[in-house]
Amino acid sequence: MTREQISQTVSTILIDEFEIEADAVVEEANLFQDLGLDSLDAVDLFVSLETAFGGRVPEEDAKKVRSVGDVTTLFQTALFGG
Amino acid sequence: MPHAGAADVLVIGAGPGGAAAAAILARAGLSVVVVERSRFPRFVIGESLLPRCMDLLEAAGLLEAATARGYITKHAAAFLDGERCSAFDFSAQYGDGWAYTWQVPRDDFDAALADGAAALGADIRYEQTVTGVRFDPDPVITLEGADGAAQTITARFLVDASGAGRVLPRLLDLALPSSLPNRTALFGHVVGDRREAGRDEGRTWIVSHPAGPWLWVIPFAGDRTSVGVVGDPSFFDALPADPALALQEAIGGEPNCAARFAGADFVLSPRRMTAWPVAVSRLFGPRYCLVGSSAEFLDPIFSSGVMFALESAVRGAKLIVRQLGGESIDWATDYTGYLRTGTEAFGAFVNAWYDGRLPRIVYADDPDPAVKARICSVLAGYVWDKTNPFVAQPERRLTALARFIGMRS
Repeated sequence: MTREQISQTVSTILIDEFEIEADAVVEEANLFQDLGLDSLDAVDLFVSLETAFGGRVPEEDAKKVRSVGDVTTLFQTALFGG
Repeated sequence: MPHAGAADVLVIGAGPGGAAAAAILARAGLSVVVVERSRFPRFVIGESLLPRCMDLLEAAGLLEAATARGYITKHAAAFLDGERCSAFDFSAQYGDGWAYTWQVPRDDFDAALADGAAALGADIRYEQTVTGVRFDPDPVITLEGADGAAQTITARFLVDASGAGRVLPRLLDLALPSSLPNRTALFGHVVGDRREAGRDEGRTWIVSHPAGPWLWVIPFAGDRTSVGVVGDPSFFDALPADPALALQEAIGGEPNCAARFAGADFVLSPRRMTAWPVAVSRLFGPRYCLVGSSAEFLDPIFSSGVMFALESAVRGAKLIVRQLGGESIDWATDYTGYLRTGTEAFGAFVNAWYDGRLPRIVYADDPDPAVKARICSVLAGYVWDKTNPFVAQPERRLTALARFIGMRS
């Protein structure tokens, strides 16, 4: 799966499940400051994406994620060989 | 058989659930008879309340009667595991619930509530054992007094608040095996334990024992403290047969409790109890309902027993008032469905405690305060607040959080 495809899934889930305005979902947007998620939402996002991609990401790496682009990178690195 | 009269509502059991139901029914102008098997005061366990209980005592008109008893204030529940201690202070909870509650010796507390219900108009009859019930179609209850004499009472509605007596589950064959495993508890009261100072004096300890079980420490006003150990039956097989020696050995095997109870003496002989969790096939019928642990008991870990008894009693009594006033009540939705929301949340927390997910969350370094506040609200008994993610989707949230604990926003 390409980075573009992963990024597309991340955006879709943020827009559909977390009801975030599509315009706000850009690579550099901070999940917490810009998109208004809290840490429970972030946990929820990872679980949704793990289900969507059919794999698990390392918990320690997940904790460092801040931006939408970080989320894409996390899944790309962990599940699709970078 | 002599007839002992009629009432609008007959309540079986004068514990907190029975007293709260009777108080609400009497305040609504209904005639209420409460039959209680024992003579009060009497000992039972379930000695720690949750902040949610305060709302419910207030709803029943019994808060003042309990306040007057001067119970010690419980501001928090503290989890201890070796060197680790994680306290959930109810003042730091999500939502606008009560910030404290009490630790209550149940002999005194239950008598205070029963007397309070009597003062509001309930007719409480002690040393009356229910031996039979039939519906033709109103409930007809057969009682046996302390002298062995039998009599009957008729009512328009029957409330089973018999707790561990489980009167209607037995007589109507409603009992179901619970999905939770059996656990054994060994408990007693001591004087002379080393109390915590100031605001912390009245908090509950939930202490992990290195061999697997957990201990409760519940300090009362004055110098008496309740201590108990709960675990798999197999843990207790390795302890001395004598309950006092067994409890001493269990306490001595956990460093926090060993230090706290080093100079303490038992004033209530330790006793042992097994097989707690229960469930029933239905919580209501056309002219009856079950409240409290007659209906369901999960586990003692979060001190939810009295809270559930009060919640179901207040809920049920208000529905009975409406039904006897001529309204049609959807008990499946407004009673069973409502109560299930709370028991599912607590049930998920109980399971997560014993399978290790909740300890991971509780003892996490540097937890997100917003998440901790939401868990604190559940531990305070606010398990009907569906704006709390841990109430709306407890199982999924606990599983996800236990994996990604330490996530910060």
